[in-house]
Amino acid sequence: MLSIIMNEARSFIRNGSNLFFTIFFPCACVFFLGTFLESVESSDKAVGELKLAYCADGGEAYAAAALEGYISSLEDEGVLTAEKLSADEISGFDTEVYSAAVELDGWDILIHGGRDKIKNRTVKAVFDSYNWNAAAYVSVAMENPGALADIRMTAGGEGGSLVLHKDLGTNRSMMDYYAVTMTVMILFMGSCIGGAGVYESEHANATIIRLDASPVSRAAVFFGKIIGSMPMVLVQILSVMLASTLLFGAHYCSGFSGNLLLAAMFISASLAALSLGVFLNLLFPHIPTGFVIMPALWLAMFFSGTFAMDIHVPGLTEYLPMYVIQRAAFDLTVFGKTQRAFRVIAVSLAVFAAVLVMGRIKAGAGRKKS
Amino acid sequence: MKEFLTVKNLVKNYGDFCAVDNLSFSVYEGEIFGLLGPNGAGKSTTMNVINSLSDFGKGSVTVDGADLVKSRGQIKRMIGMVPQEIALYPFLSAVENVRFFASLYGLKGRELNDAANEALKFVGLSDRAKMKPKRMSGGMQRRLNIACGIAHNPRLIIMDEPTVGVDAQSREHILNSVRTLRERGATVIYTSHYMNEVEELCDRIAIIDHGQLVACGTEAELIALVSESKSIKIQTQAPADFDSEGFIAELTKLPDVRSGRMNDNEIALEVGSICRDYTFILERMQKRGLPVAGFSSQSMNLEDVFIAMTGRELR
Repeated sequence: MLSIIMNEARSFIRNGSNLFFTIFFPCACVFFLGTFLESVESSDKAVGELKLAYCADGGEAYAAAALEGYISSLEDEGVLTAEKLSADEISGFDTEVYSAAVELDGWDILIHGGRDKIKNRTVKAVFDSYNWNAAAYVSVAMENPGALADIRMTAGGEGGSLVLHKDLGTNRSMMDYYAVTMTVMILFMGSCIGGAGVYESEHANATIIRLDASPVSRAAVFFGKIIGSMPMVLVQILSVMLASTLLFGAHYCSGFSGNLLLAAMFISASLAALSLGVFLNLLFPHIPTGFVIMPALWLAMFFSGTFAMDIHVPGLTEYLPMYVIQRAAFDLTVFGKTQRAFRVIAVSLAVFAAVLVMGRIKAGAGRKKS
Repeated sequence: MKEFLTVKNLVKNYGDFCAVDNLSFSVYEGEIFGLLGPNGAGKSTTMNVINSLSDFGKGSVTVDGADLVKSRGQIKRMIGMVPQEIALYPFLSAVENVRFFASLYGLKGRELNDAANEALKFVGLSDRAKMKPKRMSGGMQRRLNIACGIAHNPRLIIMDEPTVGVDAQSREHILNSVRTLRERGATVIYTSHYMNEVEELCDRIAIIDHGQLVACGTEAELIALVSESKSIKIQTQAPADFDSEGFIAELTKLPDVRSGRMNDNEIALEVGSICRDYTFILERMQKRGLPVAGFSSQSMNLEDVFIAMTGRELR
């Protein structure tokens, strides 16, 4: 079986088209899609740049300090840019220059809307959330003033924050999005379609006759083909991840353990896809299985938002494996949540094991019966 | 001679179609055994069964005393196959192809390398060891195809039309290789559409049609099955007082001569179909002072036998 494994890996490496389509092409996709679609990211395009005018002169001292601090933090995070105006200037603010204006009157926040409804709604949402958060503090102060100290302790003392950023501090871009989705693409295209061609090529070269006539069992050939294709899967995934990170500056997880888990998730999902591909080709060895399943995979990836993040069909997208894996990956890379990643790994390994068993049965029964 | 391969009452059906129908034959150790049959006769199916590429319904196949069903792994190790198709990996070099296929039979390390190099040398491709098959000529690919089937030193080699589409030089090389394999002690089952190849190469021949064995034996035995006698004509210059009747009576007493007549200067004899040596006739003529001015023999060849037995041509 070892020779079959080595032969499989060697055949893959020697085939230039394999290297092009499974390594170079996805890396290029990350770069080109990430670069050229950066400017058409839909949420940024819908809201656009927010430039806020504000005045806290008419407010209570605590309220003014809190509001100015809040606006300053929004600027720091790149949500908007802000400019402090006088009370007179605010009332007649230039809507050509500013998206909206915010004025503090005592404890109340007044929002002067601008010309763009979407920007107005966005500014309102931003300050509504501020108000609701403040209302929570007021409620605690009125009912249990002693608890305020606990809240401050939770927030890490004076100047601390109750909002945990969890890597949101990373400057996320479309490159990051496509670094994940292209890895998912290669996971299915490279593994599943690559796997779906292993028996077909044996039939095309007539070498299947020699394999079948040899003392190596058909089950061992089946396992050998899967195991022999694994290095190919590893190389593909690690190439896309490393090239995206080192060459194009894409971000996956912020920590080593997160990236390790992410790679483990991609690799286990790849193994499941690879084994399914090999099994399908074992069932239908005389037809180009890869070309048959390719349109289905492209469609599934399309509706999973692999190529464009705006595409989401309720009732369909959530059930597509590509979407499930992408969601788990974004959970991990953006929020540091591991639950979905572990679930993907568990399901993938279960699929892999089931396919090995089915392949063993099918391969063992493969000889033409009279 | 020891029976090395025995096929007994073999039956193989594809649905309602009976591809092999109660077929029995034996192949002796160290012989080249030809398997002939028209297209669809069942010879490929039979070879697939022996190669374990296909199961069978009834009967038995034994190789060197081991039963194919009970000892499939053991028998597979004894067999080397040279398929009709060029069965090679295009991205591997010649030596890598041979090494890979030999490794499937358990060869490792130095033993594997030596076996691969020896096989390439045997088919005359040592100097092309690093060349990939797609860059080779058809003849070289055929020879590499053989090398891949024999590198593990099998005792039984099954060759399915190994000379299809090759030039005369490669063909001769391949035929000589097959003879050398026999000299080394291997048993060879050989099929070909080229009747002259089978005639000159095979020790014994089996003719299969409609999944059944039509005949099996040496070429001479097969010819004898179809025709018991053949006619030969000898031109001579007999003196006017020559005792033709006495001379013909003398000749018909010889073992293979059945009947004869002499008209003018021509002697016409009916001899046994397997008779090939006519010196004993010529010696008698010499004794009587009859010169030999011409000789012709109307004998059957394997192709005539095949047509007579199957009613079809091989192709």
